[in-house]
Amino acid sequence: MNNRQLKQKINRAMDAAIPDVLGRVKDARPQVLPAERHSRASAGAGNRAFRLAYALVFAAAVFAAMFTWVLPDAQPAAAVTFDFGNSYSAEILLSEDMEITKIHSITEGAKPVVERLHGKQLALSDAVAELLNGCAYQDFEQNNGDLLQDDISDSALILSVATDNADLRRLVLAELSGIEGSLAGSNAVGSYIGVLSLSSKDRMLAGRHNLSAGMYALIRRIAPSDSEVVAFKHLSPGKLINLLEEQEAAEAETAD
Amino acid sequence: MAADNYCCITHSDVLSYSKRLSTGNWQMRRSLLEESIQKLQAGDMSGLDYIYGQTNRQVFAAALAILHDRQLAEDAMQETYVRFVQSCASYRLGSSPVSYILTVCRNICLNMLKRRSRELSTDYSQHENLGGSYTLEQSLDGSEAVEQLLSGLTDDEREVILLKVYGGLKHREIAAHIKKPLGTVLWIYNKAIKKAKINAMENEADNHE
Repeated sequence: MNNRQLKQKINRAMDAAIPDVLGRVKDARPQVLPAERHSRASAGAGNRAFRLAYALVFAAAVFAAMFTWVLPDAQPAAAVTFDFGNSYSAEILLSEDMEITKIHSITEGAKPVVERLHGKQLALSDAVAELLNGCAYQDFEQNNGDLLQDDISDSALILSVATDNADLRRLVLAELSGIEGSLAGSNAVGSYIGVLSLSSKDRMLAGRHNLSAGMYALIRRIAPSDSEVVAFKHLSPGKLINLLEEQEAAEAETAD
Repeated sequence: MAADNYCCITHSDVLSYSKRLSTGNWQMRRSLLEESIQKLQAGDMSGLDYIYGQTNRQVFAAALAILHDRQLAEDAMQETYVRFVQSCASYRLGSSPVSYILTVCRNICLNMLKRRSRELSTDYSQHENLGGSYTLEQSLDGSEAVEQLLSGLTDDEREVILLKVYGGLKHREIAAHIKKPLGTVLWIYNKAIKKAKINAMENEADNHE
């Protein structure tokens, strides 16, 4: 069979099958509907107007987000970090007038304690004391009354202040220096290591490792570079202090 | 002299003449189709007769290729012309009338396929009374032969071979209609012809037995 014969065969079969629907189409009496056309110019103008409106709304949303969300947290005048035991880290953000603008938890353990402080107008030293008491009490409940007394080094408290404003740093350090007095009257049992002073750059680097600025500063005393911080980030402040003491002792022996 | 003139006509002249002739026919057919569409746009239904006569083969070929069912193809064909009359005011003079109608037909067929996939199918061959006077054998008279010839062909191959052989469309027009490159259409057509030829020869051999 050649191509011509095949085509004839297909044509014959199709001719036998093709229906005649012209009569039915006419019986349906379809009506010509008016054309709905838009000129290209008006369509372009419509698109441009839509895009412009969309861009304006987007820009307004970005602008609003910057002022309501990003700016207040992005640059506090000072940040005080609180690290207690192995699982309680929080950060207190301060304005230039030493007023608390925000307290947020860094670890999950500190979250319920920080939530209880929301809405309270507290001075810095009171806020630190409240955090300390809250964390100590929570730890007490979780450990069924065993208040870390067997391993006192793990309940070490570290406070740090990160700011580039020298006057503010002096004021914050002065206020935190009296914390030992409130520690004595609190239920917390542990060792107070002291207040570390940091720059806002250290605070930013600590954020990258998901650490509080105080913990980061402590680790950096042991780890020579930022890339080695990861190896130490899961250790408790007490263990870090022990490591630091061992390291300092070894250095002293070498120097002798 | 006449003999000399006759000898001077070369093979390329003949080809060029036949090309001019077919181009002329195509342009004339297109202008007549556009005249008929203008009549329809003005509300004169007499224009539909010429349009139907010139395009019914292509429309049926396209519908049968997509739907694989003569009865559905008939419904699609009717719907195509009704929809074409309703929307002919949107037709821009100067564009291809056949392509316009085939696009309407293709959209209707694809919608029918989509609708059909959601419906529950019933085998009427087991319930002949439900079909009334219409029997399965009647529906398969010509289309059965077509289906036998085109069995084993893919949807694209069916569409290309039917539009080319029965619809009389050019490869270029088919490529524009199914939105595929010309080379691909030529390749599909050659494959389809080979498969159809094998089917036809097998059918003949069966008939002889």
